Amino acid sequence: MTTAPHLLLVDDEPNVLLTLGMIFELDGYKVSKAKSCAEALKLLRKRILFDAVITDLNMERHDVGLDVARAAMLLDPRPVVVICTGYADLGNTQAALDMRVDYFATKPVDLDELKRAIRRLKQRNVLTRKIAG
Amino acid sequence: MTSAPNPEVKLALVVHPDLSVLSKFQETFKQAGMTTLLARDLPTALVALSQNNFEVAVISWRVSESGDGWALGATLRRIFPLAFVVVLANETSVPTLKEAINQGFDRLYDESHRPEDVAAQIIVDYSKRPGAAGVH
Repeated sequence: MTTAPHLLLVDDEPNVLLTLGMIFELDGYKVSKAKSCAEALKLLRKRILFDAVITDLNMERHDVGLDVARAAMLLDPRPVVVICTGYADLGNTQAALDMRVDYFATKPVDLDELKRAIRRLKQRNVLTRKIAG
Repeated sequence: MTSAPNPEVKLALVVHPDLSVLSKFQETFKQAGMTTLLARDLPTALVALSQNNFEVAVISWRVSESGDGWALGATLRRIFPLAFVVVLANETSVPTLKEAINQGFDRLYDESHRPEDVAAQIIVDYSKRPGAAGVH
């Protein structure tokens, strides 16, 4: 029996959490939700294994989602980290590239493309771990 | 007699349509102790990456036609997940940065700067990565 991949969704918009959550659950994911950066950081500190983290950028403050991404990228094994925002600017996009975030989606999100990207990036993570030993 | 390859020497691939840009990258990388393979078109680049193990890859966003460098970068990333893969883009903007992230590039450099300066910056950025010993 294979375990369902675990996804953490972080967004301060309840409708986004609900909709994205339903879509990924239908796609076979176990979904955890956080409605703020603080809530997400609490979950990430619990060392729960996440296969992917999708975070909004602007929640308690502008670009605070970068803190979620940063914390997620320190986990071992490292989950796929996706930023999903309606407010992309030069600063936060450059920061996301410098941090080596895996995927940057702008709202409205192309859900099929996002699901494909997460599947592909999960496989890449597995391969990278194997090569890195 | 052929000498065994030195594992400390880093191998770089530079893909760009302009020969003068390629030679400036090669010269700067050589000074940093790196061996560089050059490609001016996609077929040459694909042959090179099928036959070598690159630690560094520098790809122009435009090789033969506008935007084809992005897809080449994504291919390189899949083949060499641990390599330092960077793009030379026509501008630093939200769309180009977003594309760089989503195609798996490590860095984006603006190609409006002098190639030797960009090459030197790439060496600095690469040398900060773990496992980049041998590059100076």
